[in-house]
This record gives sequence, C-alpha cells and structure tokens, in this order.
Amino acid sequence: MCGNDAMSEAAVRAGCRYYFGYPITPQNEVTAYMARRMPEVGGTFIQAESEIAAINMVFGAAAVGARAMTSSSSPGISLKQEGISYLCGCELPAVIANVVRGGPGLGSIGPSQADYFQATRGGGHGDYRTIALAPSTVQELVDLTFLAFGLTEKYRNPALILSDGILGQMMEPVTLPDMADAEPPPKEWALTGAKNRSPRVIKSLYLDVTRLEKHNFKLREKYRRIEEEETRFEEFRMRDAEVVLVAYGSVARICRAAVRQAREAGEKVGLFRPITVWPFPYEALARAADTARLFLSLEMSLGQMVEDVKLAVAGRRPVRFYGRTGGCVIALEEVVKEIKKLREEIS
Amino acid sequence: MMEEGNERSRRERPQDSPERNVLGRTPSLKDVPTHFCAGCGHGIVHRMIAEIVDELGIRERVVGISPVGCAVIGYDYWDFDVSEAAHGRPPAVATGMKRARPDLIIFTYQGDGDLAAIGTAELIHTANRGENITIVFVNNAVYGMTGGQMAPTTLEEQVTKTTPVGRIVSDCGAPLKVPEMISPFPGTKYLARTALNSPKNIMTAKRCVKKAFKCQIDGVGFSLVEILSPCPTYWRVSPLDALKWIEEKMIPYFPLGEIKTP
Amino acid sequence: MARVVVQRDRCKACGYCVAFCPKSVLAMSNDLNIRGVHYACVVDKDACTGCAICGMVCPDVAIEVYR
Repeated sequence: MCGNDAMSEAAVRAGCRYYFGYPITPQNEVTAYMARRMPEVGGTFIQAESEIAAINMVFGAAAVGARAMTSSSSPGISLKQEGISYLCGCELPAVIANVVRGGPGLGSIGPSQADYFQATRGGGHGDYRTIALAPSTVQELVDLTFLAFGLTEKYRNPALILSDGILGQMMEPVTLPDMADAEPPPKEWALTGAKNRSPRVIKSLYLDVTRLEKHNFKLREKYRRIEEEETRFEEFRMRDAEVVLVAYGSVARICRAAVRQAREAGEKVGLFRPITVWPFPYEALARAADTARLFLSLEMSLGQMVEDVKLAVAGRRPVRFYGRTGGCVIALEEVVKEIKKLREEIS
Repeated sequence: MMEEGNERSRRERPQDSPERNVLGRTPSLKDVPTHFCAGCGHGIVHRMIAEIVDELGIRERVVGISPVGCAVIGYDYWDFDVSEAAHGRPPAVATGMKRARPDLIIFTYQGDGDLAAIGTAELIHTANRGENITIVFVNNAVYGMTGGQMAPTTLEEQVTKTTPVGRIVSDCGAPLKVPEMISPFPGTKYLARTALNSPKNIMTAKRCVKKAFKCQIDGVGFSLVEILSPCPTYWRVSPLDALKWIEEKMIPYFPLGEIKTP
Repeated sequence: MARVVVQRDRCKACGYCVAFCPKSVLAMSNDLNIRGVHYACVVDKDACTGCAICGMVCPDVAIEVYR
C-alpha cells in the first residue's frame, strides 16, 4: 500500500470514524481514501471548506466523545495551529497527520522535515505539547497511526503523525492491525447531553490568572507523564559506535543503509533514530554520548532536530549537521561522504 | 415613594387567592448575576434560549457552543452542556458534533464578528452543506468585547473605534445582511431576522428562535435567526435610546421577518 | 390580583421595565443599590395586571411576576 493509504486504513482500524480534511499535495490520497472508506465502515467524511474548518470539526467531534482525525501538509498544518492549541487547552483527543512538504510558504511538494519545530515546540500559541510520532517505513506509519489513537485518548491530548512527501507516496508491503472496536469508551468529560448528570463544559478560557496557571501546571504534569512513559527511539549498530548518525523519518532509512555500508567497511558508525520526536529521547541520546565521539544530525531542513541533539549531548561531544531542503532528498552517497569527512575529523 | 414588593418575599402571598408565578427564572438559566452591561441584549437572548430549551424539554440533549465575544462565558449562565470554540469556528464545531451525535440538539450562539467576519467561510459552508444545526446570531453592529470596533454589520456612517468618522462604504464595504446572503443555498431551511427593541419584537424573536430549534428537532435542516440587539455602551447611548436606534436606524436597513421558511 | 417582585441588587437600571410597563407600575428608585444605580422598583402596585412585560424585557431576569 502507499503510505497515505496505509495511514488512512490504520486510522480506520484504530476505530476512527470521523475524518475531516482538505485537499493539499502530497496527502490528497488521504482525502480520496477516506471519502471512499468512511462510508464503508459507517463513518463520516467531510471535505471541509478549509484546514481551519477541518480542525474545528475535529474539535467538535472530539468534544462529544468521538474518535476524529484530520490530515494536511505543512501550509495547512500552519492553519490548524490555533485549533491544535485549543484542543490541548481543552484536553481533547485528536489525531492530526502532517505529510510534510517543502517550505516555507507555498514551498514545494517534495518531502521535507522542516516542520520539526512546529511539531515539537508547539506551532500554536501557549504552553502545550503534541505527541509527535515519526515513522520511517510504511509499516511503521501504520503502527504509529494505530498507536496515536490510543495515546491521544489515554492522555486527552492531540497526537501528531509526522509523515512526509516520500513516505506518503512510497509503496511497501504492510501488515494491517485488526479492526478495533469502533465504539470509543465513554468519557466522563464528553458533552453528551446533561442527562442524569450535571452539565459539563469544554473550555480553555480561565480569566482568573491563578486558575489558568493551575490549569497549565496540570497540563505540565500530563506532559511529564508522557515524557516518562511514551518516549520511543531505535538504536541501530550503536553499541561501539564512534560516529552516531541521528535521523528520523525517511532520512533514517537512508542513514540505516549508510551505517550498514560503513560497518561492512569496518567503520564504527551507528544510527540513533527518535521515533517520538516529542517526547524527544534526550536521556538515551545523552547516554550515547558516554561512548560516542561525534554526532551527526541529518535532516531534510536547515537544521531543527540538531538543536535537540545538542541539548541531549550537552556540549560533551561535537554535534554536526548535514541537510538538504526545499524538497530535496538526501542521497546515500551524500551520507557516506559526510561520514568519511567526519571520521577524518575525529581520527 | 413606595418601595413595597422590592424584597423577594413569598410570605407576602395573599391568603384568599392562590397565587402562581407566571414569570420567573427558568431552570436552564443559572441564578447568577451576569457580566453584561445594563441594557445589553445578551441577557435577554440567553434567557430566551434557556426558556426555549426548557419549554421544548431538550435540556438533556442540548449542547450550546459559545463564541468569542461578550457572550464567551455562556457556560456560566446556561445549565446544560456547553463548549467553547475558536473565534468564528462554531459552525464547524457544530458540524463535527452533529455528525458524531445527530441525536443531540446543537446550537451556536454568535455575534456579528464571530459569524460574519472571521467565521464567514464556516457560516457559508455549514449553511450550504445544510447541517441540521441552529445558529443564534446576535447582531449589535459592533465588536463589544474588544472595545467597540467596526463589525461587518456596522451601519454606514456609524462611528466606532475603527471608523472614527463613521463607516465609509467605499472603503469598508456595506454592512452584510446574513440571512439574505445564505438564503439562496438549498441547504438553508429556516432563516429569520428579529429584534429586541420592544416587547412585541422580543416575543416574536422568541417565537422564531423556538421555531428554529423545532426545525432541528424535526430534522428539517439548517436554521439561523438573527436578532438585532442593543449595545448601549459602544453605541454611546442610554439603553432606551439604544432601542430607539434599533427601531430608527437598524430595522430600516436590516428588515425584520422570516426570510426563508421550510 | 397581580404583583411583581424586583430583585434590587440584580437590577442594572437599564430602564426597560419602567419604559414598557403599560400601567406605570415601576419607576427608578431614588436610592442606589449595591451596584450604585437607581434600581427599578414598584411605585403603584395596585395598577399591576400581571401582564409580565416587565419580566420579559428585563435582561437580568431580576423580575418575578405573580398572578
């Protein structure tokens, strides 16, 4: 299946029955798939009038207790930022998929990783975090989309799937999960009509500033719990690695091949791959700095994740960056060349 | 100056004839003072909606969506499920809610900025899709919460913070007539414009809003009722003069009546 | 027999009830309430017919009507 279709089916398998979206390349396969698939499973598909309308439809469906999703690509995700901030402030579950493309502005339709800051620092206003999952294969896109629905409901916080223009189009064999129960568990906060209970309110407005502070502290506690329990990463050939490549998403695939090639030539190179970019695996990466001699962050951007790598490494080892941007994909040869350059530097 | 009857006193009930309370606070309206200015129409419309909810017996399945604006804290006044929404987006939120829970009665409560400025796209497309929801549109021709700026429905020559010499149509455009604008859509079923400037008009407003809710309950489709409402504070007049202003200036431009019926 | 009860401290003195009462039952008081305004009060209770217009126009739901 192609990535976009697989992600869509995984959402359906996870019990998502409400999809609201808007066309934008390179995720138009998602809207087409959902338009056909949602009616098949008794769900609802709406092509909204804009990405803003779509995220607010998600807000509405989530507020009444439904499992809802939207998807878009970079410029459209920018439009959704206010809605995402509201979802976090109101503690509503929702899944938002970003099939990242070249930017800034209208950019290109090629793959990119330049929405990392937007995804991990919270692109909207206020102190909030979205759980951000970064698959690097179509199978992982399926697994992480399925997981996203579980996490978003568990924590009452939006979850972001960071796909990209290549992953969305890529065709790979996948094993799909079984269909989950479409009926979401009852929520003691959802607006279902005040029958046999006192009325409920969904809001993020607290004009009393000490109350808002308290609410923010509550969110912070939640984010701490997510950091403690949901951080995910992969270490490939890391045990005695001197040069550590740090990469996520589709760039990590290329780096994995580069690491294999390097190891075949007897070079001690490893790959550290964050799977959740928020929460970022700072502790595990810091541990790698005990033995590694140099870190190379590789991204399809001007360098965003590299700042988190530097935070983790905390000045103990040099951190370098290599990237391509605008929609250009990093080629294997480029990674190999960079590794060679850096190994010369440390020898 | 006689001031009897000022105290809340049920002990004053006459012995010889059973007395009944013919008008008081309806259960879905919380017994709390409101933050609205003296003479503000929001108080009347909030009460109106609460009465309609109770009269139609839908308190247990109604969900209201508050706007951004003076009416942002509707959930502090209504005693049923209410959600906040980002500015202008209540129709989209309502769409998501109604599609997920068609059994719930969903209404939005929106001011002129929320509905007809930032929320125009959501208004048009929710109406065009014919979502079976109800929009209560409180039009007071100004942005109250933020201090009195021009609204899409501010009248020509009306002075506001951002039209200090009065609204100039060649620069700002003409005031928008919302029900007329969405009337051509096949998806819109019941559209009305009412006003709060007299007891008769208030009663008509309540009838129309109730009809709109009934429209939704009966599954007929999208309904919107515009209510011309006084804002004494930012029109810079007394409450009674504000009602006069509605009669003399607003109604001639925004004609009252049912613009579309099912 | 009809009467109205005005909740003095909820009244914001908008004047609607006084203006619309067909029988001039209400007037603005000389005194101030806790909000610092001349609240509406009953000045001619015998004239009240219980039409409830005052209660209906009150934005603050400060008036109860009994018949």
